[in-house]
Amino acid sequence: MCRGEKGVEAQHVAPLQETAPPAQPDRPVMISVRQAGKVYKVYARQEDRLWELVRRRSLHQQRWAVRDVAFDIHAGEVIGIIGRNGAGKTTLLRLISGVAPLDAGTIQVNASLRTILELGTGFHPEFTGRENVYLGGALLGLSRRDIDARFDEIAAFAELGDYLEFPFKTYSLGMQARLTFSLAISVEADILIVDEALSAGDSYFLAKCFDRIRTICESGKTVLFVSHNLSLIQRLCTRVLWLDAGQLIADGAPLEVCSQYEASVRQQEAERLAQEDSTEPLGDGRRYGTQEARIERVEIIGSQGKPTQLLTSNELASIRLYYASHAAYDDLVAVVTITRVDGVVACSLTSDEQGFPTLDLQGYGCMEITLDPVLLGPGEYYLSPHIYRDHPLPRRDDVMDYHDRLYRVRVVRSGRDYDVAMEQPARWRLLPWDGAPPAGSA
Amino acid sequence: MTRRWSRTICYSMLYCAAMTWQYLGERPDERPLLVRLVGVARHLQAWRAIAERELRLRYVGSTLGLAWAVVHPLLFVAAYTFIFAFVFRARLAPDAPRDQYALYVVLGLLPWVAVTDVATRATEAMASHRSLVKHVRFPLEVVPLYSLAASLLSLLIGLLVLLPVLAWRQGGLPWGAVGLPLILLAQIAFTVGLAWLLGAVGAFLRDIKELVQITFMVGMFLTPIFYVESVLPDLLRPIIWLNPLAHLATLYRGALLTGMPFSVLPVAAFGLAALVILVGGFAVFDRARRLLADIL
Repeated sequence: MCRGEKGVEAQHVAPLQETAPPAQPDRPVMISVRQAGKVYKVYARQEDRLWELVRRRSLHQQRWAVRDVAFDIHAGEVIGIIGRNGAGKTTLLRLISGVAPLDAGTIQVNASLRTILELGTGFHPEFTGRENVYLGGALLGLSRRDIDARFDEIAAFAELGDYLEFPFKTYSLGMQARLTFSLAISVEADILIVDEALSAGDSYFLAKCFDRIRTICESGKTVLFVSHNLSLIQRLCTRVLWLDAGQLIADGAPLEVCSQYEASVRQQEAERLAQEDSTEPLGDGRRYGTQEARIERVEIIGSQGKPTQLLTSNELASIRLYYASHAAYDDLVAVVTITRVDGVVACSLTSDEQGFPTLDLQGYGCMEITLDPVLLGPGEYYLSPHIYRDHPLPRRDDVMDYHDRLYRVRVVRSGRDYDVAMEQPARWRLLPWDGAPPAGSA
Repeated sequence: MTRRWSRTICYSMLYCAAMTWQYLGERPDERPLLVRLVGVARHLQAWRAIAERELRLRYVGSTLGLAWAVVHPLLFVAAYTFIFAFVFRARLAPDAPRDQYALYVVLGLLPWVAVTDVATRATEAMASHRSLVKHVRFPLEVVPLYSLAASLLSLLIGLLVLLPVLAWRQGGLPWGAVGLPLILLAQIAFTVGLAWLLGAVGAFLRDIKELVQITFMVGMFLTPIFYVESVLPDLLRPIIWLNPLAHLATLYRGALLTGMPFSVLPVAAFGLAALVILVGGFAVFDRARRLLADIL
């Protein structure tokens, strides 16, 4: 939405339409949000609300949870809403579903809505599963006849069998999630709004839920959902809204908006790590040794050639160890051990195995270890650089300087967000079939 | 002359019904307060859902289950009758029959419990139904009324037990018993209004719950339930006049006890109180409604 210079020429257009996304004239508008805003009054204490009325003085702070948000949603669109925690995603859903009143702007909804903001609204642990479906369903606006008609379907989807006749409190969390989701999803409406409510449940049921949501998405219904699962969003959505600090940052094609969002998250993380300044040693008790040879400074250089704490898999990086030494030994070895945050030693970079059988570390200088490329999988790692004398018979005073997990580095993956331990270098190629052709081929 | 009057009444009733019907389907926001109040009737189904849930919730898991809804008021009436008729051996007047006093007490106690139970629960109704308020589009007006059905059921069962006893001991019911449905109606209006008022205020100020409980505890003794009004010193009389629940007790006794006929004052006083509380309570709740989802 280009504002500014061009806006001057287009001033005869009402400003409301200026911020709206490109129209899709073939489909009716289902939800129309215009300059919507929601402000929360934050009071230090609950009773300040009353004092404010009595003393006629403002005792609250205003926080805009959603501000100046405008978009149209057309029939059949599947909208994903992404953003950091506290960005206003849930508030926006609550505004659209009419649970919370608007403080600014307008929201117009032209169809029946169904909102799943929380699973298990109205469920009580003492009731049986069956009673909960009936009583909870009634609170969601279903009549007894509606539920009678849907009960078998709900029970079949939840796959709880006999457990439906037992009190809800005897269910495991996963079983509770199954029943609550089954009920929630059974209500029919033109627009479905789902807040990320599918956290519990085993992976089998989770897959089933996503399957159901995908079926609904593909059936031409309008769906809005909030999720932190970006790959899911990219798979299901036709459009993605990115909210930050209550404002609409981007609105467009899933791939584009998601990658913008990821880039911003990555940048924010790099800034945070830089602020923490973790090339300074993290603690004192974790550094020891005779100090005859010292590691004075450690730098991690990213592919841009600048110091960083954020590395990317399959890109170039290097570690620089600045040393100062008065040790006249000929059996010194420098090592950087890289430990994953869960304690697994990912690798050990050892000078005598990697081209320097003996190190001459008299005076001062810098050792550079180039990682070409970084093969570590995504995650958080600690670096433990150290210098020691390599003896057949190790002694305590062999250690010159040991920095035990004092430096932190984070590795991210540039492709899909797989959680892998390492990036195995590999080559692919296609070969002709060897031997007799497979059965059934022409 | 009478025909003209009855026709006028018929027409005006029809007109009221038509107007009500017309308003029921509309969005509630800009209409006058009284119309919105009538519009609450649209949410009968929602109220039934929340009331049924509460009714089941009270007795869920117990072996007798819903039967407790009958057993409880039965035992209640029996216990009070026994204590006041046979243990205290008190009489309303020196020559009055002994069990008349027990019936007097029970008739004061039944409506008292029915009203105060709903009102006390209403103070925390919003907080205890938090997820309904915050996460679902639910008609908030019915939330403070969630315990109304359960307590009315107890009251009705208590009365059903009591009526044969009254008829038997007094040799028939007084004519005033015909007015009982009207009294019940006024009582419901009063209770609903009070529940709205306390539900709205209780959502903002949690202290209200304690305050209301203590008020009702003290109020029980400032209401002629266990004693006759005439024994009070003159200083305390005005409190009785200002206490709508005292008038309600008087109404019940006027309708069902032979010795105490109806008088105009309690009828007018309680009717007026019910109307004022109903409209006032709704007005307060209506103002608070917008904020409820945000403050809970």
